[in-house]
Amino acid sequence: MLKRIHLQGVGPAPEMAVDLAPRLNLLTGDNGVGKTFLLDIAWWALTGDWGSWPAWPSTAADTPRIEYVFESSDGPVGAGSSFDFEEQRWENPRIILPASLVLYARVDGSFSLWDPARNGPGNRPLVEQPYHFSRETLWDGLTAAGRIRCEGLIRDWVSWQRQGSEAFLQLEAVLKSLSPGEEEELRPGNPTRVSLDDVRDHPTLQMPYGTVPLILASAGMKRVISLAYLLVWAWQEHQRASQLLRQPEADRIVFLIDEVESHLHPRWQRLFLPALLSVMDRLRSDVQVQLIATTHAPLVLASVEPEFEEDRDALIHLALEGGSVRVENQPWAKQGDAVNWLVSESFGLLQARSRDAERAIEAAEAWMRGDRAALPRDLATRDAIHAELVRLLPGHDPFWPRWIVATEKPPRVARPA
Amino acid sequence: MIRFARVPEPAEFERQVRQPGRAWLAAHPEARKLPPLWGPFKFQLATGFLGLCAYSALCEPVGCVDHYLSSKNHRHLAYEWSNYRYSSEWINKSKQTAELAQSRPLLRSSV
Repeated sequence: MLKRIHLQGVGPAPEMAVDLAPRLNLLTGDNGVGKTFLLDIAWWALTGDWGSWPAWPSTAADTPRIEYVFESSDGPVGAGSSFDFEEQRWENPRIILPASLVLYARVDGSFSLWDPARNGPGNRPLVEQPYHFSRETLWDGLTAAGRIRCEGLIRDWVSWQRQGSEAFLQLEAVLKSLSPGEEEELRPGNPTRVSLDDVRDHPTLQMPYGTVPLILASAGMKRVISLAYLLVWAWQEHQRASQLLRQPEADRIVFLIDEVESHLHPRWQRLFLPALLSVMDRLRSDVQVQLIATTHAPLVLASVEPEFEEDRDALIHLALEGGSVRVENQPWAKQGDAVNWLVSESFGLLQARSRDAERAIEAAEAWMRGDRAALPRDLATRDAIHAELVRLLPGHDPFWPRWIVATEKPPRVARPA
Repeated sequence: MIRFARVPEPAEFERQVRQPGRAWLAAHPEARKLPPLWGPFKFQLATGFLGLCAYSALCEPVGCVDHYLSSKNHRHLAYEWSNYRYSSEWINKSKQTAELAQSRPLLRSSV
C-alpha cells in the first residue's frame, strides 16, 4: 500500500505531494495535469521498475527527488531516490519493497504485473523483471529469453475450462461480477476455432444473440475480460510460487488503473469499480486491496458513492494553477448523479450543457439580477435571451420556471373568450 | 387532469398541410421520414393548448407537434389536424408508438 508520494523537481509542478488512502483513491483533473504520471510513479515506487520510460526531471531543478512512504506488514517504510545527472538515471532506492501484488492497467490496453514472489529482489534471478503485457501478449502468451512466462488468456482460458479447475470457477465468478446486468451476464461458452490459420481453440462468451469468440468482443469488453483474467492468473501463479518458495502469500494487492471508463458504455462505467472491489472480496477476503485509479467519467464517481468511506478512501484532484499543478485531497460529498459530479469541483464545469446553452443561461441570470453590463451584445434584451433559450433548452429544463416567473412573461396564451 | 377543448383547425391548414401532405404520401408510399409540413402551425397548436403540454399539463415553452397516433403506424393521420397534440419534446420522443401498447383501444377511441 502506498501512503504518500512526494516529488521535487520532477513532474508538472516544482513540488508535489500526494497522500493516498488505504483503499480507494480516485484521481481527477484536466488532460495533461499528470494523472498518468502519478500512476507511473506509484508503479515505480511499488516495484522499482519504470516500465517504458523513467520520469524525466525538470531541467531547472537542482536536486530532483522522489520520496514515498508505503505501508508494510511491519508498519510504514519511507524511501527515496535522487536523479543522478551523470548516470542519467534515478538512483536505485530499493532497501525493501512492499510485499504487495501490483497490477497496472494502462489506457492503451497494456498491463503490467509485479508479483513479490516471482519478481522480488532476492528471488529467482531469472524472473526479476515484472510482467509487461501488451494487449496482444496478454492474449497470446508472453515469452522472455526463450521461456514461457505466461500462456496467455486464449490458451489458459480454454485449458482451465476443460479441466474444470478452480481458476475457471474464479474466472466465471469474476466475469459475473463484472457483468453490466442480469440480461447481459458474461458467461463463458464452448471453445471454438476462429480461423484455418490458428490451431488454437478460442474462448467464447454466450451472448443473447449467440456465442461470440472473445477476440471479436468489443474493446471495452476485452479490457474488462483482460483484467478479470489477469487477476485470476496472477493469484493462481502467486500462490504456486509462494508454495514453491515456502513463503507466505502476499496479503495486499494494489491496482493502478488509468481511465477506469476507457471504452466502456455508461452501464459498464457505473459497474466497474464496485464490481472490482467485490471481486477482490470474493477471491480473497483477507487480502487488503488498494486501488489508485484515474477517471474523466462523472458516472464512475457517482458509482462509488455507496462504497465511499472517508477514512479509507480519497478523492484527489489535480488542478492547474498559475502555470503549475496543485494536488488536493477533496472532501467527500455525495453528488447524487453524474450531472452533479460534472459541475462539482472534481470536473469543474459551470453547467453540464453545450457552451451555447451555458452562455444563454449566464445571460439570463445576468438579466434577472439586473446586471446589464454583463450581457453579451447579441443577448442584450429579454426577447433576444428568450429566443436563444427556446433555441437551446428543452421545454422541461429546470431553468425555465425561474426565467418565466422572474421575467413575468409566461408563454402561456390567454384562454379564448 | 385539465380538460382541453379541441383546437379548431386553422383556415390555412387544408391548403398548406393536408393537401400537399396527402399528395406526398401518395407519391412516396415507402418513405419512412415524412416532411414536417405541420411545423409552421406549432404556435397555433400551442395557443390552443394554452402553452401546456397535452400529456404532462405543465407549462411548455418550447414544445413540438405530437402525432397522437404515430405517423409510423397511421400514415393517413400524419397530416390530420385532429391527430395533433402540443407536447414536450422528450415526452413525444419517449412516447414513440405507444398506441401499440395495451392502451390501444382507449387511445383509438379518443381521436
